[in-house]
Amino acid sequence: MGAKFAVDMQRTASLSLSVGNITNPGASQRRHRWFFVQLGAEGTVADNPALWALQRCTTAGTRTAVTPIPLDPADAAAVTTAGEAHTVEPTYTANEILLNVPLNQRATYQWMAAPGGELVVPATASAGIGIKTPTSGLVAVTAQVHFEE
Amino acid sequence: MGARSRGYARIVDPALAKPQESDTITCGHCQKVVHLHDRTGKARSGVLVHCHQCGSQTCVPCAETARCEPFEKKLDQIEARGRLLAAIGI
Ligand SMILES: [Zn+2]
Ligand SMILES: [Zn+2]
Repeated sequence: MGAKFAVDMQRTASLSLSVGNITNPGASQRRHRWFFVQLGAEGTVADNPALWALQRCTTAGTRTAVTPIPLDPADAAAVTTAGEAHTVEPTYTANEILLNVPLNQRATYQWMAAPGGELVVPATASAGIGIKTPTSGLVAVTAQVHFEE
Repeated sequence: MGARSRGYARIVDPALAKPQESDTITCGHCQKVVHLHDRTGKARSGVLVHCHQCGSQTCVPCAETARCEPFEKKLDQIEARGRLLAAIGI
């Protein structure tokens, strides 16, 4: 078992720009596995439909860096990198949407992988998974992901 | 990969009396997360197909390709290509 990390990604939701992503560095990357995902909005409770999508990407895009937090404080810093509030989108891989969640703005979605059922990112430069809100704008949203590397 | 044990998803909506819960399976070919229950908690039928070649459970779009491409194998191929590209400096 590798070290486990938490990443919190936030932005004012955008139809065209990602909430955030977790990607490999350009060198010395390693496989990482997403095993927990939580999606929700922290704005005022309102009855609005929204769609969330997790999609594979091959570049980091332009983003505000987020440092993955070790779940065990004794662990060293993550090799895998993360960021939020994209201003330039990552390069998404067509058709490789791993999770699609239609979710009312007032609701929260959580997913926990079964052991062996984690979302695995190959150990190649800048590969990762991004989180998008393709139908909802203007609401402050947060995605939290736990991964292992 | 293509785990037989199930993941778990839930939606907590303050407008509903209780959380909406679903077991999930991660497709053994493409890793798409398949929800096995609908929002009322009823099992969804026909959302998973057993692959007789690799023994994993897959999503319907993967099953419709009629090819067995285990995700573990794809990972190895992607990483081999990445090493090659790095070696030739791309
Ligand atoms: Zn599939
Ligand atoms: Zn198969």
